Amino acid sequence: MINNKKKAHGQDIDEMIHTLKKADAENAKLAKNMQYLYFSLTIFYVFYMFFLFFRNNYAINYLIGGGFFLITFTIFMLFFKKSSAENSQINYAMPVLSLLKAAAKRYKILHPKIVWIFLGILFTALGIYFLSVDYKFVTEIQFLYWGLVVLSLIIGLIVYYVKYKPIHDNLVQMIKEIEEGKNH
Amino acid sequence: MNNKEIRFKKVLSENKERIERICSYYNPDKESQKDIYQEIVINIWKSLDNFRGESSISTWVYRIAVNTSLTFTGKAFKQMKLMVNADTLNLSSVVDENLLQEKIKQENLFELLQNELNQLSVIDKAMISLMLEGLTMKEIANIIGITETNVRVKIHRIKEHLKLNLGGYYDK
Repeated sequence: MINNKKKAHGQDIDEMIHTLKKADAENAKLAKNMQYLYFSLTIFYVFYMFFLFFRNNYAINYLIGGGFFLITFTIFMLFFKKSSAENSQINYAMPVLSLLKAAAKRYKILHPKIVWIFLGILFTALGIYFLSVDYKFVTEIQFLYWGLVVLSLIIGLIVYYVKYKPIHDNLVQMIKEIEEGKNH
Repeated sequence: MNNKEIRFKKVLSENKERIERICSYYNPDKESQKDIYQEIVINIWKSLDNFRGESSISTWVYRIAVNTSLTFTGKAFKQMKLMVNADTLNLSSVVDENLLQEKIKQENLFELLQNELNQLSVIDKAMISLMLEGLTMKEIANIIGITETNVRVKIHRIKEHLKLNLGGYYDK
């Protein structure tokens, strides 16, 4: 989009429209490709589970583990689909106060939809557990997984506090300022 | 050419100067103005399908322009400047005309007006930019999303603040 934006500079309106339409098409294609990717992974896991189920020496733990991965993929697929739809539907034509409130909500650290991410992390842990239960290092694998989760959370928090929290705080400050004496 | 493209062309050709002025209020740098302009144009394109004609097209364009300008700077909100010059339209609506004429005569004092405007909060700057465009209180209220009375109170406060500060300096 940035490249398209830069390209659009200095063009006449017709060229600009062409650039914007191209960008729309590219964004739609990207969103569709992501959906195809998650859909393919989900289908792959469904077949994988059926394969395990009908195999003569299948182990029930593989089936359960695969089931948890399937749930995780589904959660992430729906989560990213919803997030990208929300981001592409930001309406800049709404009143300033409403836009700022919507933006502040998006930049909140404890957004209710984060629950879905944690559910995904939990189901992945369960999936890993059931797939590795036959091996010697079950506990070590879980420690490694949760260690990576904690590390990712720490990095995420640092990124949030450096990059997004100042934006959120400024949005809240502007909202407060607009709403001061709103009942006049 | 489809209907959206025709509408987009019309909106852009009728509001080009408006958008450019808003961009120039928010940024002294020509390159940044062009970037904000492009961003506003993109947002007009994205929002065009949602325009239902509930407000005038110019108010709708101002909304997109102000919203984009406010969110464009990201972390640099607080540093956002409101740039005016002696030729800015409707400048007399913000400060007393006699005082303004005197100030303009003395260029160094005009800088003071610029500085005073930039002491204002981001929201006050946004409201002043709309006043400079000659919008009515009702239109400003419509853009910001508060009541007309509330806008009047806020604008009155800003004007009083400017009058006090500029007047105080001038008396010296």
